[in-house]
Amino acid sequence: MSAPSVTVPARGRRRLPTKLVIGGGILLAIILFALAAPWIAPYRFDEMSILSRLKPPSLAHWFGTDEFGRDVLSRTLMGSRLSLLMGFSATAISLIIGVPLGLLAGYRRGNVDEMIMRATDVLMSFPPIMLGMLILAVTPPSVWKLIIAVGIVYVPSVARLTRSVTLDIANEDFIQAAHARAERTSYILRAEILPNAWPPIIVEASLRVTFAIMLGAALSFIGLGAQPPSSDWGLMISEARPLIDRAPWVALAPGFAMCLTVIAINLLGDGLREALDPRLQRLTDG
Amino acid sequence: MLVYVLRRLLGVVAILAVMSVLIFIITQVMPGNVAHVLAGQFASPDTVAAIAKKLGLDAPYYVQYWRWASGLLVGDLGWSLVMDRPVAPIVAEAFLNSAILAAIAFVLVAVCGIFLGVIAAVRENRPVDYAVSLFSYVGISVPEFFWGIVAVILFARYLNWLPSGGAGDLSQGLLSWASHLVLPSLTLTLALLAHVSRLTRSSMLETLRSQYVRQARAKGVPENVVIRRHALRNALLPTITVLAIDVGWLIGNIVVVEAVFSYPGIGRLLLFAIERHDLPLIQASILLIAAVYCVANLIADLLYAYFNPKIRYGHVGA
Repeated sequence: MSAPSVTVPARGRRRLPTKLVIGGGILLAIILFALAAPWIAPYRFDEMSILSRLKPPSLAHWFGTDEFGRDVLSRTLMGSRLSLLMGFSATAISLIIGVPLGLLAGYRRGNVDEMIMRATDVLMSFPPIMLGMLILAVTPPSVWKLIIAVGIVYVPSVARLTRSVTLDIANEDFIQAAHARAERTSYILRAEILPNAWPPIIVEASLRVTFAIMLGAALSFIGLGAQPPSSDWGLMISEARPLIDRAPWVALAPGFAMCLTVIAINLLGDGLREALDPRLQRLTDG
Repeated sequence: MLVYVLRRLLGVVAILAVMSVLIFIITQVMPGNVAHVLAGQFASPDTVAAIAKKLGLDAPYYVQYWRWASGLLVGDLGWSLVMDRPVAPIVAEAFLNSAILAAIAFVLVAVCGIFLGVIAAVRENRPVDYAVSLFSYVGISVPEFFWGIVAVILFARYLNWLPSGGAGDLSQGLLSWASHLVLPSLTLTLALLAHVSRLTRSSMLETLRSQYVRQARAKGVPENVVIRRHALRNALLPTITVLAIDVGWLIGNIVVVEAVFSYPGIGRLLLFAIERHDLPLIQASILLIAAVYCVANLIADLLYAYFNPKIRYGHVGA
């Protein structure tokens, strides 16, 4: 039995928002580059060459070389895989933990709600980067721990959003009906509430991806994330910092790549919001 | 209102207490036995045990926590293991440096953010508005450390106007001291500017469309007076709350920005402490940063409640 839709707008023939198209297009291109990186990269990302250290951009090395003579273009290309992996898996983790918590808190109310909300209060009392540092300082850093840490950092905000959406939906008649049919809580949450709650969650999630990419890069930058010789963009920029006077290109390539990725995902998120939120749609149309 | 303030204050105290436990637990499970680190690689087990005893590391965890927490309450933050000095003055000095940086950035964010927001709103859908929007979009899409790097390349490497990092000493003159602050505070400002200018713009647009602004215009009040006296004053309410929230963001960003510019603030101190496994130093700096963050959030909430009576009376809503 499927629940009637309350938040998904009627599917009329509406033009897709421009932002969605542009953002989605750029992101798709970045994803393709990331997938093809091992084959299109002109060099191996960790191939060192003492003879060509810190060479400025040239035909052989489009974006120059770093202090070990590694090709910056190849490293930036390979880094895109890490960044996307980081952004999407960390967001997935925060959704996997945060959405059920939010559903439960918003539907059950009472003590369960109180406990979950107080826990998110504590987690949200740390600045995000500090929470990440606290989690990562415990064990030697690695990319997987970084992803988990960033995922955990954003659990509270996902849980809170899901909760507030659930609160609205829980008052709808069809939920009362399911309740009257004595459906199990897990069924109501999964089959009745979740399908109606996801549009705002998806919009939130798409913006979270950029936060996750930037937080992950920041943590790698301060040395608590990816470790050498990884070609993570944050780490690349961090390694390029001491050489900035002699070889600025080493930092610029990964930096611009990250900006482009984040801008693309932000555009996509804004476009999604316009497409999924009928109220906002009217506002922008009018 | 008073009840609300008291309730929120109690909330902050409770959160700080929980946080101190959390920080303590996490630092306890950190790898690298402190006594081992201090004794060096080739120390005998006896030496390690003796050092552990001297530091009180052999006591049960709850005793250690109690010692630490009760010390905190009287301002004793412990003894830095690596620097072999009391933690409090080290943290205080770094904190002061960070506070100077944060204060400058905060003022810049407030002034420039509101200014840009108002300009964009008044010139809605004109080139200036689009320029500000584009600028904001780029602003929130660029990580603060990359802004920092770009600033260094531009102002330190090519133009050679400013030092690329470190902190100046006041004894070497005010100018040298101030010049070290320019790039870090500029970087912090850029990262937060978009947030404030976007919000000011939308809230300003809302008030510009309101009845009382139309009324004022109909009365024949000059446009610049309408903007300054009628619209801006009301539009600033939400901006004030956002500025308080931004203090929190500022604190988060400052860790990274200090790392970019090797600025001797609390963020770099924390990174140093994590690198060297200096537990008391880690605990004190994290707790201090978290406390400032909590207080900033509290102020944001109180301001919000002050301007939104609904919140005050417990209609927190969803």
